[in-house]
Amino acid sequence: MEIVSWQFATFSACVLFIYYFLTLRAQKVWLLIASYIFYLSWGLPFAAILFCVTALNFFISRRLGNHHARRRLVLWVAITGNISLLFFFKFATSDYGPRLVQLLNSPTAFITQFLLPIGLAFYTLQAISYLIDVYNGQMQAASSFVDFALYMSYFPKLIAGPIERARNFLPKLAKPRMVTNETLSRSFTLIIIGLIRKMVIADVLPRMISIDHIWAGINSRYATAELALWLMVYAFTLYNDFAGYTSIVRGVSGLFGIELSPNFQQPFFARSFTEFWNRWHISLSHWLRDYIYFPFSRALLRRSEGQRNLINTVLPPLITMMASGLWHGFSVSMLVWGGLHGLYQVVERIPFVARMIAQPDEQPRWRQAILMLIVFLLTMVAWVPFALKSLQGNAGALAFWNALILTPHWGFSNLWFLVVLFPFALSLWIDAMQYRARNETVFTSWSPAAQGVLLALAIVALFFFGITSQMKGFVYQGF
Amino acid sequence: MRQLIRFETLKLTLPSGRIFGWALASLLILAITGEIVLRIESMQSLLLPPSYGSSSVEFGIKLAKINSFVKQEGGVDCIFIGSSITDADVDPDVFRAAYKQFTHQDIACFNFSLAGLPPSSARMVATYLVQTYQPKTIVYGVSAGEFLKIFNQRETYSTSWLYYSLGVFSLEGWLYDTSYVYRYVPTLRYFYESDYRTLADAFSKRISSSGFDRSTVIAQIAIESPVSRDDYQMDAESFSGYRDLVDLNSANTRIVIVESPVHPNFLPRYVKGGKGVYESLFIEPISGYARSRGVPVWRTQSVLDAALPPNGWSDPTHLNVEGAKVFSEWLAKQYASLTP
Repeated sequence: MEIVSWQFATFSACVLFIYYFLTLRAQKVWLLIASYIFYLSWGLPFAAILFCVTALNFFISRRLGNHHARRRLVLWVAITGNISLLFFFKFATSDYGPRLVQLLNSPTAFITQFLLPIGLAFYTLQAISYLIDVYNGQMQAASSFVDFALYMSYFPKLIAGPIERARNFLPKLAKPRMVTNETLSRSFTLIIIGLIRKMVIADVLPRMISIDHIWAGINSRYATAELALWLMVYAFTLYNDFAGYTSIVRGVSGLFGIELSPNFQQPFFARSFTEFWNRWHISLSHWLRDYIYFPFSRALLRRSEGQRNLINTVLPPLITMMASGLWHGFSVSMLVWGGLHGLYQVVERIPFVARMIAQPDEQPRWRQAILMLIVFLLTMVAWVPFALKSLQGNAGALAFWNALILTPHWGFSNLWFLVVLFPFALSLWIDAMQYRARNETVFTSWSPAAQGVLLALAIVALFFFGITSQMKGFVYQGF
Repeated sequence: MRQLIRFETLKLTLPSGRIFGWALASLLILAITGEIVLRIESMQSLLLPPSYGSSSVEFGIKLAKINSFVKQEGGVDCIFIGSSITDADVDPDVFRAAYKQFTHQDIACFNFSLAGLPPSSARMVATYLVQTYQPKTIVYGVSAGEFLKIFNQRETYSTSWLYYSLGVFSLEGWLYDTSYVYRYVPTLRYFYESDYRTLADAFSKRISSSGFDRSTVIAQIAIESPVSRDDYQMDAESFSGYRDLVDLNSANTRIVIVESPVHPNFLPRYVKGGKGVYESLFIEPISGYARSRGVPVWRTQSVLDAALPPNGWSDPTHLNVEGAKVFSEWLAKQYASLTP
């Protein structure tokens, strides 16, 4: 059941209708049942894996809660178990799995029958953060299996996040939930913004310039400007696809009176890479920061007795971002993508550069604009291996970088490609409105007349671009 | 039960409804503005012609072109219809010039053939053309492959708008016929797509003002291993559509059936069983029915085998501009002998 589908809308409406009549405890049970029904629509084995992961982590967390000598060992075994599961599925479903099996002279049928359980990469991280938080004493182990199972499987966030922390999510389940006019208004605004991002921008952009057209003529027909434009199309598509998904599911969750964490805050307005990762896929970035970057930095600092040195500066961002790359996909190109972002952050820590970008808010406007542009352009360069998912070959990142940067060919074969500027402008306009007001549902503060006109325009846009176009799944469901 | 059910989550008050009021008013204003703007001809010329619910870009282009043609010529004397074969085979401009040469009379003809048009839809298209433009003659080009079940893709052309135009009411058909906004929605929806624009641009450039879909491709016809079809069997619905089309023959509009030629080397393999089966299972039924209704059938295959130039084919069943020139001149001669 795709999120942008009539089935999901009907399913959510039915779940909501019953939900509103239930008591607090019954609501949780009902949401858990609904979440598993939703997940079963993706496949029985997926639901079975989720249940097993949930049960194991719940019982392990109970062990972690009790003070005993082997807590640390239990934690590491549990973390290794979770990561191994994720690693196994990522590996089996990558290009390398069948290749390795072939090298071992084993039949590949076994490995090729595996499908990556949708949402596994998201709920595994939730489980790990929960275990670590319990171990560190930042929260009590959940006493209710229903609460913990709902934390792991809550259907609005199940397939692609946001990656919630148990210490934030579980208390929300304990409190009585209330849905007021304001909640409804905010939730529907988020849903409409999400639908516009997904159906009017993310689904439309790739149809304006397709990668097939760009690649068909690389090195000859297609010009550097067109390659750059396609790269921007990819970035805006990915951003609006994922931000659209997050907005929709947060809106849907809001209707249940449960607020989910934001995942995006106008990332293209970032003036440094550190800021970029505080604005792009925030729940993952913060997870990586809290559970890889900080512990790793602290460990290195302890080794060097508190003295900052090259290793302390270089390794933590590099390792963290490469881990992020591997989380996105088990391939060299994803490692390169992560490595590039790690490298950007390392450069940002060079004192001369760091002085330039420290406290961006205090910089003159022109310098902020230049920094924004630099971050945007370098991020574009890094998207190449992410988008093409391979480094070598005619359709690889190296060929693309070569055509884009090293052997530029000026000219523009098709001025119609500039039509992509309209969705770009729409995406940036929504971002600018939210950025200026520091409020993602800024439109609800407009006058009723302005809101009405905007609603009408949104309906027209969705009718034009959405109603009969093929509904596509979200990109991040694939991770 | 009291422990299970409690209505405490929803705390709503009745909204004023002003936002929805404004939204409704805005939608009305947008719709009216759209209706006005899209009725301006200069605005329409910026957009691709609407296809009235058909998934075929060519259908919209042909409709727009025939309307311009009729406006310019003051009417249309004959209309050619058929599939992509007739689309590529008949150049009305060549036909017109040759006809003038033979008879010293001018004739305005338009080629309304559409790629993939099956006989079951051709009857509807032909009926629409007769009702709307009142041509003196409809020339229907037929080929054996068009009568196979696999070719019968009715939904492409038998749209709600076409049914509505022929008197079968439907809301969607009415909307297409009445509302310019509704009519142009698909055009606007796909206008930005590079694939759609490429296809539409190619069609617009290729199709002449008289509807001829010119192909300049010259095929090297070796015919070593062309498509060999299964046992040839005419689709009943297709033949029924053909019969209905033939039945349009009247005192006001004459129907003429033309056998579309295929490359002579290809004919033995065009239908399984070769020429014998082609004659008995395809030519005989269509000729028999047409003649029973007083409709002439012009055989071309044996007549034109030698006349069509070797470089006149773009593939085994479609002529290119060179072949179309010869074929159209021959048709004009036939037509001249038909008309007094």
